[in-house]
Amino acid sequence: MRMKSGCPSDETLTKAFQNDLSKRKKDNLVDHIFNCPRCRIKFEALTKIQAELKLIENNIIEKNSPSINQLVTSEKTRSRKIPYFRYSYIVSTALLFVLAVGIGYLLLHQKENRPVLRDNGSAAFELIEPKGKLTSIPSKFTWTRIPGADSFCFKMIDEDLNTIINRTAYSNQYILTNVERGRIKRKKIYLWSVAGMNDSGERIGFAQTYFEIR
Amino acid sequence: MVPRMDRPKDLQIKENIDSIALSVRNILFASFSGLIPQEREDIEQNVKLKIWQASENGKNIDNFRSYLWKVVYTTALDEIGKRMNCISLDDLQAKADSLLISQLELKNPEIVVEAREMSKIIQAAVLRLSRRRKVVVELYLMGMDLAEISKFKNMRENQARHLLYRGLYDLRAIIRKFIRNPKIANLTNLAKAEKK
Repeated sequence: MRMKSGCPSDETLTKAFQNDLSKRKKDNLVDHIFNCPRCRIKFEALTKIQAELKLIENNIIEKNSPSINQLVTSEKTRSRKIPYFRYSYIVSTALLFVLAVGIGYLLLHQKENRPVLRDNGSAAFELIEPKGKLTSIPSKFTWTRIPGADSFCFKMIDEDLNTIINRTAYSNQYILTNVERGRIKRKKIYLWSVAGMNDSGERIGFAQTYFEIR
Repeated sequence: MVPRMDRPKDLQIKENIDSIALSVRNILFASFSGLIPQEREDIEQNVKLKIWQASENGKNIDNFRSYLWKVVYTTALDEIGKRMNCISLDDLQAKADSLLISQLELKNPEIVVEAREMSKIIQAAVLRLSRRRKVVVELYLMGMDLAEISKFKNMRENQARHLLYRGLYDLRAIIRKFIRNPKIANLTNLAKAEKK
């Protein structure tokens, strides 16, 4: 059922959306589709259909088919019997996580109040405030001037890597709006960075630091 | 042929299958703009009948849901396959190019490059990403959101988010490098060479 040489069959596409393909085959399939506009139209349609089916899915499983209910029950029973290697996998993952958090904590404390500067041949500049541990939600972010920079890309992300603010500033400060302040929560770590850009849009300086509100 | 369904449970199934058929029909209409009314009617009839027949035949299958979903996907692919030759490859390419550029939200100086050329640059740049980031970025550039990527890749959403953000960051850096480097004149050859 191949459309033309190299294109995956409809069956392969269907299997990919039903999670019946190995990881490697699925990755190769994505590589192909990315470069093939004909396959992409099918892929886009299946993506939309998958989203629609997800909405209908729960309804069908819960209400319509006793055989499906049996299937779900048997799958739940099966999932309770976790084999030994899964326990060891969970324990080792948890240990690695604790180790990573510990190292991260130590590194953060060593570099407290000191902005990280990336040196890529560009001028370094400093972030003034806010940084470190704070008692209230900040309203103004300031940094030193950098010669030749006429705009600054200001970005702030939280510890889960969600982008909170991504704006362009035209002076060496950024004042938060009330809405933006509302997005900042206590007891969370926020990383903010500023990139100085020249009039050709080239980055000529970059610095980042973090803050946490107690 | 319309299957007979009298019991309340069957009526519920009928309602859901009608709703699936309607969604598939709408998605196919959106995929092929400029369909004449006759073609629209054909699609509607084919989709409804195929899904109806399949659901009637497979009612006693244990994993009915999986079976029904397969039928839905296959039916949609059949209908797309029938109309594939009527679509201009140039139109498809142009649509794919504009999606690529809009997904990356490229700003100056990237947007000064022509769309087709930019698309080639992006495709060549994607090849430079690490394997795990590359696949996630490709899915994003094809219009999938984070929830869809994590479902398709069978991974946690946080994991997909991390790979995507890192991948996009790297991708933008590579694109900037490509644009500034005048030596990379023939991007098609570059892409082929990198594939090897």
